[in-house]
Formats: sequence, C-alpha cells, structure tokens
Amino acid sequence: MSFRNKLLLVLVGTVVITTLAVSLAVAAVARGAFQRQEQERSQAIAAQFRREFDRNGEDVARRVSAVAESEPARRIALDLGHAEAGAYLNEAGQLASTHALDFLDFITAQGAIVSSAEFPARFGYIDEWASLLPKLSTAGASLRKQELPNGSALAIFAVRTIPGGEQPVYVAGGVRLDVAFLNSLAVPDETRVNLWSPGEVSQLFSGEAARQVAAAARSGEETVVLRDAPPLSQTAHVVPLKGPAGEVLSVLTIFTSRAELLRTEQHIRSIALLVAGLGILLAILISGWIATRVTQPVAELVAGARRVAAGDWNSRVSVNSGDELGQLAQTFNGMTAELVNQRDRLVQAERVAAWRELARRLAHELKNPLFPLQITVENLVRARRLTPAEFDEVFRESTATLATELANLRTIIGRFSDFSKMPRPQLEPVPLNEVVSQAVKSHQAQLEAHQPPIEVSLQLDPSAPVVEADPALLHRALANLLLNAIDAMPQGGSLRVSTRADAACAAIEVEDSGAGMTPEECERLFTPYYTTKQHGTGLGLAIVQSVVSDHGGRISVQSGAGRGTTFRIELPAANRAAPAGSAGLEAGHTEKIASEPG
Amino acid sequence: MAARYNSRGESSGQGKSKPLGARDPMTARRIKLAMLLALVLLLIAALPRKAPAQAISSMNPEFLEQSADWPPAAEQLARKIVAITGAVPVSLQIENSSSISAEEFAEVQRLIVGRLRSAGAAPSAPAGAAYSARIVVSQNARAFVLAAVVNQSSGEPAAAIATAAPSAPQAAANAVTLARTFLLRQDAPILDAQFLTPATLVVLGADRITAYGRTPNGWQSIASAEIAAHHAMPRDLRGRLAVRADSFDAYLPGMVCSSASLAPLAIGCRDSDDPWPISLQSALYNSARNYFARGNGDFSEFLVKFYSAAFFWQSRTEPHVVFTTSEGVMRDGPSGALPVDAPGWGSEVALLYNASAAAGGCNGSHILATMAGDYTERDAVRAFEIHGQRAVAASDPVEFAGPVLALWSSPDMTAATVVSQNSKTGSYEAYRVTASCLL
Amino acid sequence: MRLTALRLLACFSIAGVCVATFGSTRPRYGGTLAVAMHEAFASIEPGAAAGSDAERLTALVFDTLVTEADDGAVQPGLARAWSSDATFNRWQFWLRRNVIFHDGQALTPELVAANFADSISGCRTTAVGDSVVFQCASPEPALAAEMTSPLFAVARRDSSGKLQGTGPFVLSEFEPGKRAVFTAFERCWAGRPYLDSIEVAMGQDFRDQALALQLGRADVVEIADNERSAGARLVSSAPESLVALLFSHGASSAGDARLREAAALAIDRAAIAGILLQGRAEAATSLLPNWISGYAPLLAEVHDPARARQLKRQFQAQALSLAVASADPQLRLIAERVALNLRDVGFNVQLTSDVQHSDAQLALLPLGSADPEAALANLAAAVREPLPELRDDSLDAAFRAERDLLRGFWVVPIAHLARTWALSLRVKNWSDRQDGQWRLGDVWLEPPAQGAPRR
Repeated sequence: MSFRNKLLLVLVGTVVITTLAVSLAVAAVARGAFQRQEQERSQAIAAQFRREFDRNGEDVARRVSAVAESEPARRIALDLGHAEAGAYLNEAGQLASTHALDFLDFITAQGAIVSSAEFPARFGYIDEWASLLPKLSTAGASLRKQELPNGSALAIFAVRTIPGGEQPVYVAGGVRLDVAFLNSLAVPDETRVNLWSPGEVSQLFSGEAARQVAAAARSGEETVVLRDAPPLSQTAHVVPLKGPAGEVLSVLTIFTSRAELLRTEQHIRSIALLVAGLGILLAILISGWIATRVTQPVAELVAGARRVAAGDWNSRVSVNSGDELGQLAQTFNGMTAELVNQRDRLVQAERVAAWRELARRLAHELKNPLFPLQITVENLVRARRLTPAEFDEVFRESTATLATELANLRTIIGRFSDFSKMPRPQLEPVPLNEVVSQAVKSHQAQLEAHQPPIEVSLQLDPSAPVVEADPALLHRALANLLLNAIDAMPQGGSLRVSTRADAACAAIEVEDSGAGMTPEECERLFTPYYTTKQHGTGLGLAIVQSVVSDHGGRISVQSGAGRGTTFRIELPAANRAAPAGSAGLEAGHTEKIASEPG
Repeated sequence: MAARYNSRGESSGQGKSKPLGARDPMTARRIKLAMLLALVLLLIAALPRKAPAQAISSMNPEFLEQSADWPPAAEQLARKIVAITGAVPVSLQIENSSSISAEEFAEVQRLIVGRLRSAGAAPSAPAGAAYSARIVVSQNARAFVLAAVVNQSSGEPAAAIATAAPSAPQAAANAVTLARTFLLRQDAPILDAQFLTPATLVVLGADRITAYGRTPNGWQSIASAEIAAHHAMPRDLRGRLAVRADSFDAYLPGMVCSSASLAPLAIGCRDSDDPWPISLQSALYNSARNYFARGNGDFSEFLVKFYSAAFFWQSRTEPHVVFTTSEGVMRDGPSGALPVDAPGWGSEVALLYNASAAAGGCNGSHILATMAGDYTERDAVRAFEIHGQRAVAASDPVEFAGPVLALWSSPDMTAATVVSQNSKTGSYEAYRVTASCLL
Repeated sequence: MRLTALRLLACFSIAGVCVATFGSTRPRYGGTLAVAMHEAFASIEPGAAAGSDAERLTALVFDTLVTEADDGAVQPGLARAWSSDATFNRWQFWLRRNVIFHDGQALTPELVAANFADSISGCRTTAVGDSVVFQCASPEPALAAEMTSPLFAVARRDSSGKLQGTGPFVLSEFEPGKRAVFTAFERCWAGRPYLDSIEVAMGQDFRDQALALQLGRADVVEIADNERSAGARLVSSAPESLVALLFSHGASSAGDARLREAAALAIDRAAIAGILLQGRAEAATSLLPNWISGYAPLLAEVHDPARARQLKRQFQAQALSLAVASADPQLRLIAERVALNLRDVGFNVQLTSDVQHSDAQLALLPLGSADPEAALANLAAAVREPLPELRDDSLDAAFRAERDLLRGFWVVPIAHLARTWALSLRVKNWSDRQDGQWRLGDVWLEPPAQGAPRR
C-alpha cells in the first residue's frame, strides 16, 4: 500500500471512527430519550388505569352503599335469622339490575351467601371474602375474581354493611373489569391495553422476557419487557393487579408499538449515516488532498526511483520544498546522477569485459581449429624430408585436415557473424499455431528418419492467439529448439510441441524426453558458445533467446537429470506485443537457469 | 291476633281476638248442668298431663280422628312382611310421613305391631332379630300407604306395601240453619247486647250502658247510664253482660258495673277482677289485654291465655269445651288440651242450642264461630260440630257487613248476640242469631 | 214449611251478600280467556304434542275414553264404563252415546277402534256393539290409567286431512310455536263451554307474562318464582314434573356405578327444592313423588357429601360435562347448583349446552299422570330406559319397577317440581287440581264492571 494510501487511510479512518462514534452516541442518546418517552407514556396509561379504577371503585362503592341503604336490603338484614333465608334468593338479582351492578351478593356475618345476582345457585356457600368482609366494609373498592357458573370474571368490588340487623349482613357488589373498561381508557392508537390471568400472561413472551413476566406475575412487581413478535416490536408494561389480600388476580399489559420508535431511530440512523457518509466523503476528499499534498513529493521520489529502477537513471525529482522531503529529493537527484555516472563507467567496463570475453571465447574457438592447422603445416614442413610418396600421403592428409579446419573456422566465424548480425524482427500478426506447425513440419522428415524413432506429439491450443512476430526469426528459434531436442534423444523418445493461450500471452512449449540437464547446465544454457553437445557452436540457444527477447517475450527452461527438458517461450498476444527492437541482453523477459555458454 | 292451626300444626290464618263471657243460666236445670260441668272440668284438670301419644289406648275414640281404615291395611302389611321373613322376630322401625296426628300414628303403630305379633313376627330388639324392617306411614293422593322395606342378610331388601282407604269425610250429624235477626244500630261501640226482657234490650257500650225498649219503629233508647272508669281501657275493648230477671252485671276490663235500678237506669261500677262468665263457666280476664288468663288450675299449662271458649256436647251427657287461643283452636283432651282442626275459624266462639232441640227436635248443641280475618274484612258466623279433633261445618255461614267484634251466648244459650261494625258506615250493629234443625 | 222458608230466606239473604263475597254465582257465558305460556310447541295433536302444556291444550280439542280424577282415579270420558278380565289382557270400553266430532260426524266404536289400531303395541282393537275391545298379548293392568293420557285421545282425520276431535273447543287458528286460538264447540257432548274462545300465546318470557297479567292482557300466566301478583290468584299443582340428572350410557367419565352414586350423594336436594325453587318443589330421591306413590320414603337417600367424596376419591379426576336439556332458566339454575355440589366432592364439572355429546344432562320430565304405573311408564320412556314389566297394578309392583329404574344410578332424581299459575281475578271456576290438569270447559269469566273496557 502506498504511503499516500496509508496516510489517506489513517486520516479517513480517524474521521470515520470519530464520525461513527458521534453518530452512535447521538443515536444512543436519541434511543434512550425515545424509550424514556415510551415508558412515560405507558406509565401514564397505567396511571390512567389506576385513576379510572379508583373512580369506578368509588362509583361502585356509592352504588353498593345505596343498595345497603335500600329498603329491601334492610328488610333482609332484619329478617335474616327469623325468616327462611331462601326467601331472598332473587333479591340480589333485582337490586343489581336496579342499581346497574353486574354483581351483587348478600352475605351473612359468617360469610354465607344469601343471595347472588350473578350466581344464584351459590346461595349457602361461603364467600371467598368471608374473613375480609369486616375490613372491606369500611374500605374502598377492591379487585376481585368473581366466580361465575362457567368460569370467572374480574370485577371492581365494594363491600358495605347493611344497617339494622342483629348481626351484620354484608352486601358485596361490583362491576366487570373487562374490555369495555379498557376501551374507556384513552390510549394512543398504537397502544394496546389488555387484561390477562397471571398464568397465561407469560405465554405472550418468550425466553428471558417470559421468565421476567412470570416472575412479575408471581411477585406482583411491575416490569417492562420487550416483545419482538414479527412483524411487530412492542414494549410491554406489565402491571400485576392485586386483590385485597395481596394476591395477584390479573395482569394488565400495556403494549406500546415500537414501530414509531424504530422508525425514528431508523430516521436518525439514516440521517446520521448520511451525515457520516457525507462527512466521511468529505473527509476522504480532504484527506486525499492532504495526503496527496503530503505524499506528492514522496510519490515523485518513488516515481523517480522507479524510473531509475526501470533504467532511466537520468530521471530527476522536482520537489521544491525546504523540508525533509525536499532534502530527500535533492539527495535522490544526487544519487541518480551518481548512478548514471557509475552506470556509464559500468557499461564501459562491461563493454570492455564483454569484448574481452568475446575475444577470449573467439580466441578459444579459433584456437581449436588453428592448432590442427599449425600441426598440419608443421607436418608438411617435416614431410618435405620424406619420400615423395610419403610426402604425397602426408600432403593429402594435411590438406584434408587443413580444409576441415578451415571449414570449422569459417563456420565459427560465420556463426559469430550471424550472431553479431542478428536482424531486427519485422513484426507482423502471425497465428502462433501456424508458425509452430510449420516448424514441426519442416523437421518432420528428420524426425521420422531418426533411429530409434522419436514420437512427435503436436498439441496446438485452438485458442492460441495471433502474435506480433517475425515468422522467419520465430521459425528459426523453434528450429533450434527442435534440433536441440532431437540431439538430446539419440536413443529415441518422445517430442511434444504444444501451444497454450493465457490471458496475457501465448506460450510455446517444446518438451523432450532426453537425458535432461543439471541445474548448472540450465544456468548457462543461454550463454553464447555454451553447449553440452559434442558438436555445435553453442550459439543456438543464445539466438533463440535473442529472438524471443526481440519479440518482447521470454524463454524458460525446466529440466532435470533423466527427466527430459522443456523449453517454454511466452510471447505477448498481438495487442500486447512488446515494442520491436528490444535489445538482446537487456530487453525482454528471459528466465534462464544456465549462465554460461556451453 | 289469634292464629289458627290445622292438625299438622301449621298456621293457616289469623283470627280476631275477642273477649267473651256468659253467666250461668238461672234455671235449676242449668245450675245443675253447670255444677256437673264444673265437676267434669275439675276432673279433667286433675288428670295428669302426659304426652298426648302415650295414653292412646285409653283414649275415648271420639277424641281420635281416624283418617283411614287402618286395621285391614295393618293386617295386609303384616302378612306381606311375614311372607318375606317367615314367623321370626323382626326388628321394627316405624316412621310417620303422613298427615295423621301423633295419636293416630301411635294407634297405627299399635295395630301393626299387634298384627305382626299375631302372625308370628314378633318385634324384637335389633340384636336378636333375623330381619329388620323399616315401615313408613305415608299417603298418596288416593290413600294412606303403609310401606315397608325388609332388610335381609343377603340380597336386595324386599318391599311390602299396603294401602288404607281414607275415612269418609266428616259430615255434621245435625245440620242446622242459622237465622240472623237485626237488633239495633248505633254509632257508639257495642260490647254486648242482651235481653233483659223480651221488650227490653240492654246494650253495653264502651262508656255507657243503654236500655232500649221495643217500639213499633224498632228499639228506642229508654235509659242510659254512663260508666265511670278510673283507669284506661285496653285497645280492642271487650265487655260482657250477665243479665238476670231484673238486673244485670256488666263486666269490663278491671271493673264490674251492676244495675242498681232499671227505671231510672242506675248503675254502680267498681274496680274488680272478678272472673267473667263464659259459656257456663267463668274465667279471669286480663284487664290490660283482650284475652282471658285462667291463672292456675284447669288447662293453665296449655291454655295460658285464650280469647274465647264454648262448651259443647258430643253426646247428651258428656260436655266438652273448645277454646280459641293464639296457638289455634284447642279442645279438652284426656291428658291436656288437644288441637282442633278448625280451618277458617276466627277468635270468637259461643255455644248455641238449636231451637228445635229445645222443642224436642234434633239433638246436640253447636259451636258458633266467627271466620278468620281482621277488622278490615267482612265476617261471617257459622255453626260447627266438633268431631274428635276436627270442626265440621254444620251450617252455612251467616254474613255480616263488617268484622264481628263480639259473640256472646244468651243466658239460655238458644241464641247468640253478634256485634259487628259495618265496614261502610262504621256504625255498630247488634244481631241475634239462632239455629234451627234442617228437616 | 217454616224451616224451608227460613232456609230459603237464609239462602236469599246469603245470596244477596255472596254475589260479591263468599257466595257461589252461576257461571256466565261468553268472553275470551287469554293464556300465556312459557313453552312453545309445534303441535297439539295427540301423539305429537310434546310437553305438559301442549297436552293441556290437546285436552281442549280431543277427548280420551277415560279421564283422571285429581287423586289419579280413572273416571268416565268418552267411555261411560269399562272393565277388564282377570288377567288384564282384555279390556272393554263402552262408549257414551250422542257424541259427535267437531265436523258433525258421530263417534262410533268403529272409529274409536280405528283410532287405536296402532296406538298400543301388542294390543288389537275391535268394535263390539257399542263398545271397543282391546285384546292385548300381555297383561296390561294399567291400560285404563294410561288411556287417560292425551296421547290416547280420540281423533279422526276428515276428508281434507284435518284432525277432528270431540272436545269442548275447536282449534280455529294455530301458528306453531307462537299462537293458538280455540273456539267453543256448541254441540259438545258435555255441554257448550262457558268461554267463547281461548287465545294462547306460546313461548312467552316469564317476566312478560307477569306484565301481561298486570296489564290485563292475560288471564292465565305461569309463575316462575315467588313474586306475588297483585290482583291475581295463584294456583299450584302438586309436583307434576321430575327434575333429574340423567347419565349417558356412553360416558366414560361416569361409567362406574360408584361414580354415579357419588354424584347422587353429593346433590343437596333440600337446598335446591327449598331455596332455589322457592319451595315450589320437593326434594326427590324417588322417581314418583309421594303424593302419587306413597312409598317415596322407602327410596329416600341422604345427602352425604363425605361418603360421596370417599367414593369419588377412588377414581382419577376426569372432566364431566353437564348439559341442560332446555333453555328453561330454572333448569339452568339447578344445573349450576348441581355442578357446585359435584365440584365440592371432587368432580370436575363443565356446564355445556351440547346435550348430544355430554356425559350427563339435567332434564325436566313430566310425570304425565297421577297413576303410578302410567307415570312410571312415561318416565321410563322419557329417560329411554326399559320399564320392567308390571305384573299387576299394585303399589308393590310399581315400587319394584321404580327401584329397578333407579338401580345403577343412571337416573338421579333431584326434585319434584310443581307448576304455579296466576289467574286474574275474573277467572272463575278454575279447578285447583293436584296434577295440574286444566278443565277449561268449566271455566268462566267475570264480565268487566260497568264502564270498564271489555276484552
């Protein structure tokens, strides 16, 4: 990652983190505020419920007092103990209807029901509030679970004593606490208020919320839980409602939809994200500008270094600042100037060395045939002393030897001349497969005639592209490889020539099943005049390397002792062909293992 | 208010409470009769007071109202039980679930036990009995039922049921016709009105006694004397006239006024708690209330207070007495008072001979009784015979235009004075009621 | 002579007073009796009339061969006399003369025999002279008593298919379940009834009935509770229906007799009869009330919740569904009380209205007759239990038959219910019968006072 990007990343990261932190904080604060508002709203509803309950309770108490003061009730109180209690079986029903009470019971001091409006059949049974009646008769209204023929109902109940009897007679009356009561509460549209039995309320929830609600229903403590029942998300305010003895009779739930909250949160989040995004974008832009400003000199330095690395040692970096970067630029410029000087000196030295090497190799190459020439001439000189017949024979042998060695000299000098006069490639679009198949065909006879036979396998990739190449030079390079392969399999074997198309280049592989080469041999394989053969000039692979380089490609070899050898030429595809005229040694991409001519 | 009860002891109405009183008749025959009656009463009162159910075997059948023909039913039941058990001792439990009285139930028990013993299944204690039988005396719409379930050691209990036809409904032995004769009307209250002479009617009021003489235009007041009371009179004032040939005594709560002279009418009143003459007898009157309290002696244990009483005869020689009390109508019994089924009776009763009997016609005497109701309702007087413990109507009712406030026998008991208050006008009307046989 | 004159005088003097008070008054002809009923029924035809109220109206139009006295004794109806052989296989009913149907057709033995042709299984009817003979394959000791039921009223279909009767009234309008109008039959064999017509409104709520009586729109209404009706006279029958708990034979939750016995022991009948039904009922542990059988005390069961609990404890808790057979609020109240009693001893009772699938149901069963055998037969048919054969008409046989019906506690009697009606004061000559039967042919209406609106 570039310095600029790192710097940019750091700056942007800092801004992003800060922005996100602020956004999260704002969102959290907003969420908290909304939740508090929600809780206050549900608590207000709960308070409203309690107020309505109290108001209804006062009303019930008033009506029950009116019943207690009524003439029929007093008659019951006076007559009880003297008359048959069954005579009043239906009194409660009539009085309840008159006083608009849903429930009305007349109860003796012992707690026995004399008359019940809602459950007449319960006469004689002991009322569940029997032990509480004296206390409740002077208290306000209470919540009660009233038993009915088929179930039970929740009610607001009040108890009063009927005056006049010898023993206290109580009247307990109430109204239902049901949906109608809940509907009388003014609740917002998205709020639902319900009453549940303690055992069933926890079934509305799951997991921890259910446990919390169940515990609240048991203990009588209010609690607030979240209820996520897709597609709704609600806040549930759970208010246990207790009877006069402290037992939980019912549970009031206030479900407030969190949709609004979530929408608002979402809205805030969106805005926050938008603002954060814009901020981050702005931060990126500014940071980018800052980073660019900061890293431009560095980039120029880097570019300059690249240019230098690419070979342009004359590149200079123009950083006109007095800070460290400016100093660095100046140092860089000085360094490159020095490098250029050194390079020139090096090139000069390499030239000298190359000429020395070439002269050495030429001398070595020439020396071989010259020695026999010298010996032969000396023999001839010596042979003057011999008989004419002997001189003729010696003359003949010597002239033959001279001719042969002169031919060798001519060959060596010819190759050297060829090598030094390698033409520049004339690039044109050439189907790779065609060139390869031509090269193989041209050696087909030689391959077929070889004994032991060599099995040839030509695997051309149909997708092999058209390459920018000089067909003749490429043919020559392939021919050299084929000849080397044939030479590497004196005992026969298999020769595979294949083409392959990659994304960026086209590849030609020549694989033989010869003896292979050692890593050291591979290292020196493309060195001119290096050869592992008994004959040859050692320039073949150097010529191949030169051709490949001129085509902007590269050549590699893969070999192992006893495992054959594979030469791989990679050429750029037609639209990506390297510009023509790349120098032999410096240009192109060559992978080679061998380093000395064989 | 007096309450009335049927034979099961349930209240069936309310009666009017009234004072009563009558002095012994002056004829020798009546004096003898009175002494005889007093003796009888003393004898009756001297009898030990036992639970009514115990002396049933010695009870005069005329006191025992038989609801059904029990003996054949008991016989049938005993045969059926013995058919199940055989002639072995049986432990018995007999219950009454019918409307018969305790006395009658005791008689039924006796019959059943006797029949079983005769059949060989003698009742025994549970420990020594092979079988136990639970017998219930019940009744359905048609008959009385003796239902028994016999528990055996094994198997389902067996049942034996016998029915007893109800007795024929009571009819009066001597039906009579009552005749009502209007005497006079006045605005002031009338407590009693008795003939001093056929032409002179003495009327006892709340604060004066008035003598009326018969004229072609009806009874006209000929003399009047004020009653000076020194104490407050009770509400529902009652008073009684005991007339003699030429004088009278007037009984009021806490005082007695006697005539000193008739022309001019002069009376002398004194504070007194003398007993009032009631239907051949006399009784002490509670001067602060409207009923008689016998105090100690006869029937006091059962009849602490009564409103009215009248003697009657079921046979020529045996007089009995019937009382109206706050617990209902009672009559004398061998060991104390017995309730009488007298539905619809009020609180006033009086003895009445029928006129024909005096002339040698139909026999017996009758009890005149008012009807149940209160002072806001019209009343009637009707003649009854007492058969055992049931009052059987012997005449049609005689209606009055308002409540009957007083019902007193005449000295010779061949007539009764009825005082009623006209509900429409509010005036008090005195009538004379007599009975005559239906031939 | 004098006495007779006195008697006459007494009678006249009494009569002058008794017109408005205690004395008897000759019946007046005319008027329309307005009757309101709680029950609603679809038919009053003999055999199709369901319910005691429907049968009361059947008796207005259709006569039976014999009738039942208030004590259950059989009395002449269309038959003036009857007898049976010693084995009760052959019964002969001699018909009254000069009886005609509403359409004028004379009543003949042949028509009567045809009427009963398929009515009594196992009995063949033939006309013999002026009588009808019932020849039965098995002894029928209670045949005469059973013939008093409106089920066996004599009727004939005329050419138009309409059913003709011989009763004092003709059914002139009938809206099933709503309204019926009966008009007097001028040529009734027992004499033209006093009323011109009777209008019956069915399916009336008890409160509406009481209101109608108060407003003068009804003369006869049924009372469901002890509300006193001012300006009305109350007449009650003796207990004429049985409220009973019937267990379903297919119910697994009450398949064991001990469970049913526990239920029988748990029910507090005294409270139900005395308080819930305001004394208009008697606690019942027998099928027949004592006023019919006389042996009911032998079948008495005590209220023993402890024993019930002990029996129930032997079984696991199982839900028991209890249905109420009708919409009668009274019955519903009893069911609620029974449910409470059963819950007290450990039953898990649920009230339901699904009679078909319930484990038990509370039903109101009319006795239908004051005769023990006939009443038992009616009850056995109502509870769909086979009635053991009655060898004779003795109470012993009836007791054994009733005990057999009660065995196993499939039928648990709870209370015997009386019916109470309120009559307006203008209704005269209403016979207060124990069995609750109506004799509307003898009823007459006091005409309204001068100036009062006539109905």
